[in-house]
Amino acid sequence: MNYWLSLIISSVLGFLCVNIFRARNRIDPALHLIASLGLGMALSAHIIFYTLFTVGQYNAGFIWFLHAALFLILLTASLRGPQAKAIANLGLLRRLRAPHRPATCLPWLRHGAGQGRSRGRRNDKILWLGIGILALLLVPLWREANFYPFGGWDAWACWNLKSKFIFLGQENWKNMLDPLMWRSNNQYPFLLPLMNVWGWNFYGSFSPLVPMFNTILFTFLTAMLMFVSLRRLNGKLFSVVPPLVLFTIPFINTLSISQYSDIVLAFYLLGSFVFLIAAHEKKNIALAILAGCFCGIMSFTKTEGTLASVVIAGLSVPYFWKNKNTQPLLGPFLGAVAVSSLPTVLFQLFWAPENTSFINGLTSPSNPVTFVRLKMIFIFLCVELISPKWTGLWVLLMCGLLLGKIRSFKNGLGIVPAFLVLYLGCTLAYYLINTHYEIIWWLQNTLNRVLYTALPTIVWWIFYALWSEQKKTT
Amino acid sequence: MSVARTIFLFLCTTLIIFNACQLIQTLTPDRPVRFAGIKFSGLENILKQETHVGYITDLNLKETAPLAEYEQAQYVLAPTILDVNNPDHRFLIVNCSSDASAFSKLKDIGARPLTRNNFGVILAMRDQKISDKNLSTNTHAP
Repeated sequence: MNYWLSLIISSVLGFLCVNIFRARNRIDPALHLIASLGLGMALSAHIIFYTLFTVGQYNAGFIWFLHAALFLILLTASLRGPQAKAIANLGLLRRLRAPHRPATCLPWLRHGAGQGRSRGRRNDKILWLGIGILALLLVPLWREANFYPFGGWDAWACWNLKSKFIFLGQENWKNMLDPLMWRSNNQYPFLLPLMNVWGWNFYGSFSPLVPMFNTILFTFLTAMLMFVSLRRLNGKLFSVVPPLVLFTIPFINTLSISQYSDIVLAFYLLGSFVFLIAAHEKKNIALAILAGCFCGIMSFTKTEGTLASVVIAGLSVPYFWKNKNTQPLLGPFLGAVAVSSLPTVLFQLFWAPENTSFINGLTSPSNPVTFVRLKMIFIFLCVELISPKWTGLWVLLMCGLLLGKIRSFKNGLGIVPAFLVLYLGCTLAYYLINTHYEIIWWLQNTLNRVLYTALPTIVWWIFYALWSEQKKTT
Repeated sequence: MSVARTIFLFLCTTLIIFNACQLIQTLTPDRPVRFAGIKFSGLENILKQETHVGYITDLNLKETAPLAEYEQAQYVLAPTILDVNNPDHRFLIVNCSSDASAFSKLKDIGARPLTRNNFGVILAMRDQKISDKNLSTNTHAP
């Protein structure tokens, strides 16, 4: 119950926040809900970060105060503006009157307002059926998670360890940045640890249930985001196929419950593209702000998230600028990125220790970059993509890409392949240049996770390209 | 085009069914929860006032199992930092391959064992003379 309370508080904050963004433009209500949870969890984590920054240690009272203050500010802003009507339409009264009809309980979950009653009902059915099917994913996730209550290696060596330092360390929490802690990647940002601390705040102790629930939550949110955003295109139940293709793979299932930051990064990366492309397509400022928020939040998940955030922000300039209609979206997008990536900036400026696990192979005479290293990286990448652990997913995605043809690279979707090339290119270049680690060991342990974080976005992109073409032809 | 798309969806569904079957198979057997950090549990109550503690071992931390043991010990005892093979701390955790090796190390360091648990992990304390100089820097308790 304690965990759910933390979720409810965060999602209410997120909901009110998204509600303010959508003052001028509509957002699909189901997307609104998912964005609320994602944004709300990040808001709570950011509040704890600012508490650490100002008070110098974890302080439950101050965290509560900031949450209450933010709630009052957001509520006042919502009640005063044009969003008031949206809040009034939450349908709570209807829910009390007709609790047996889920579709009418939450009428704002319907696919598009103002549609015919029969179409609305059909979409409601598809939505609830899709949610029901995706909820089945929770069974293997929960079962597997119980075998790993402390998560995988990086969970206890990095993410949950940092959570414990913040939660129990009082004024010594910064010891987690001590050079002695180099094995815990102490130069990494720490969004997931802060989310864990937010959950522990309700337990009063470091319950292993919270990191477990958090990773299951983000896995489910990622699946839901894929489904809901693709449902917008065709309004059919086929939209559950992409998340199912991904999250039924046993290897993905294991990685998802490992309590790593990768699933959090995967969710915010997917969210950035879902909202960015929707904003571009509909010329919707609210969606552009949401995309900016997700992009900025992503920068605090881990170093790869910071890289992804910088790449997306950089690509957004030509993306929005080349079309006159979308030019007004660039400012709100970049503004949202700047505000939501403030913790990353503060962390890098004031706290981030030097990366001791970096040797520049381009200048180092003892560990130079070699051609063999480059060859190994490319061979390993090819071998990885056909590895049985992915159960043929990459081959299937390649078929999908060929089917989508030029559509996957054109118009609004061009930003995704451009991002993937730059992001994976930078990551592989880092593998090449940083000669601190044995390349085979490093690739074996990390490359699959780099691919895992990008997979929801890749799967979504390929299916989006296929179905958006279908929409166009029909 | 729509035929190709239907074939693609069919392939996806086949993959989902195949993966779901695999997933169900891997989930069926009950597996014991393994966490080496359990070896060190209980020490956190004794060491909670310490910011740094020495972690003395004769095991090679470049190997996976000893490194996992160290990392899990660090997790269990956080926010206390375990300083690997640095005996210049008031408290030392000795996790060696054998008792003989552990006691030999303690003798070399000049520390006395305080307690030993069932897993062979020894909590030791440095002699007062040597540890005095570290007290002010390593602890925040009087």
